[in-house]
Amino acid sequence: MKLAPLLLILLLVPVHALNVNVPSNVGVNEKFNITVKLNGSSVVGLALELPNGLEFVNSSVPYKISDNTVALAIVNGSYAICTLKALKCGRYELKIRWSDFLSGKNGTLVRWIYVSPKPSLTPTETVTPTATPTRYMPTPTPTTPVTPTKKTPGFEFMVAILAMLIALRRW
Amino acid sequence: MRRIILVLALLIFSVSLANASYMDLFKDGRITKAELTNAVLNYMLHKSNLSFEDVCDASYVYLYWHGKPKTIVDSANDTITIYRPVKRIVALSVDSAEALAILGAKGEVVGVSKYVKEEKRHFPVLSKLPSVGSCFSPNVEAIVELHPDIVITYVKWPDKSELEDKIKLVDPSIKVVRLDFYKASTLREEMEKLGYLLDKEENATKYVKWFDKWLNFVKSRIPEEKVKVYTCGKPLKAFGEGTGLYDLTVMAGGDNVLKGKKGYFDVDPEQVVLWAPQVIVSWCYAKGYSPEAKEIMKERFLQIVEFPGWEDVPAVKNGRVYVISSDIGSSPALPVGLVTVAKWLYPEKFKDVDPKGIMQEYVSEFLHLKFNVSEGCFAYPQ
Repeated sequence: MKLAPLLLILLLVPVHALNVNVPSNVGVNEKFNITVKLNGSSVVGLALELPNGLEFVNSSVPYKISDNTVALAIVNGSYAICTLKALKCGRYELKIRWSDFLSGKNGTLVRWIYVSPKPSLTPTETVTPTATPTRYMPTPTPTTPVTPTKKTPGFEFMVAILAMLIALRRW
Repeated sequence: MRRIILVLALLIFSVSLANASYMDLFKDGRITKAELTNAVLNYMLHKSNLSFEDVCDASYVYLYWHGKPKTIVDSANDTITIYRPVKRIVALSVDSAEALAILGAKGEVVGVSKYVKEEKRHFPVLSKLPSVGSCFSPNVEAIVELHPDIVITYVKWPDKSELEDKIKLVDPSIKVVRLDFYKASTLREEMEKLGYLLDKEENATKYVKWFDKWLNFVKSRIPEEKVKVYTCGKPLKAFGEGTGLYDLTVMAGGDNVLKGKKGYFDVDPEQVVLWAPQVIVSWCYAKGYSPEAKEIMKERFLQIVEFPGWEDVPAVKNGRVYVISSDIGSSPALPVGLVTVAKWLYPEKFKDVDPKGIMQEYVSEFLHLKFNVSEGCFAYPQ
């Protein structure tokens, strides 16, 4: 019983000061943003394993692509915005590997994205793609202000609510 | 056999490849943002021969060292350049172990001198670490097994053929840094250099300020008329110019009778009578933090005051024979030793000064020890 509040706190704490925001619902052919915010300036690498059905569009930080993996590098920065495009309807697992090279920690996050036939209610402004597509480029300055996508409750949040309900029922 | 050779060759090749790759980041003198970005991206795509540690180190160097390696000239006049943050240190001397404690780098120490292991009250944490022999007889195998980034030892000991030359054969990446941490003339600068190398500048500055405060304090109170002083270990083992004790007495304003005579040497008992020193200061290697220190120092004291034929030596006749522990006379605690000797030479000028209080300040503020200095013995008579 006493463990419930602790469990709740643990579930709500972001993973190692790395906050990744991924929309859970997008419409087909829609571009959407994945935002990564760091707690302070650091050197962080990210590798997004894109499932068939999601396409990389652009990023606010330098990137490199190999097969279905997009690597992003945040060097002495505190955030990154990566724009993807949903090509087909379906439920996609997005695996994000991350390495914080200053704290010496790393890990993997998994997020689910539902791509529905209808466009989502909150359209997302995206990072403007460069005129000439390159496989690797220096840090681009977004030409349009980038608004992070609306924060959507993720998996942890749902589990936290569930844990709270169980805790309250037992109480 | 052929398979073993092949595996070893592959291993050596892969190790050299990884090292070369990390060092490649410095090929134009510094790590640039573009180079680090590229390293991060390649690592994330598993297309890099840099390890996770390599990229971490490169990130650290880029952010905190402006992408450049760090270089110092040590007290042996050797240029030491490091390309990664120092994470593993072997302290081959007691004085370097103490300096590392002052700088707040105890956590980085992985191996210590056998003498540090013997001093549990002085080094409650470091004495639990593996021994690597001593500065007089280093165990190179044990040192290399600990994979240190740097090894710190004295300028004179051990000989380079016993340390650098042997280490180079096994692991050339290990750097030997020679810093004494016991001489008044170099202590201040050495603490600053090590602080810089380990990114502990703040703690080094705090120590240097304290060091300067007491040095200037003593200097300001030394009278014009100087006291004649004889410095020794055992009664007839003179400590001449260039030794820590000689320097300490001169800094404290003494007129040392051994002026012009260098190093450690034996003297005739009659010569001491002729010199007629007003004060005798003897050096004792008793471990000041240990409960036995007082007895050992007392024994040395009695050797001098009861020395046959010295009854009329002014220092003996007037009760001005003193014994100082190497723990305060030749170590980073040197300012305590300096004030102690200055008070012995000029008791009237320093009557308001409490060396024991300064030692307590040093132990608590710089060594971060919960040790009451009254439980040890650093000077006799106290």
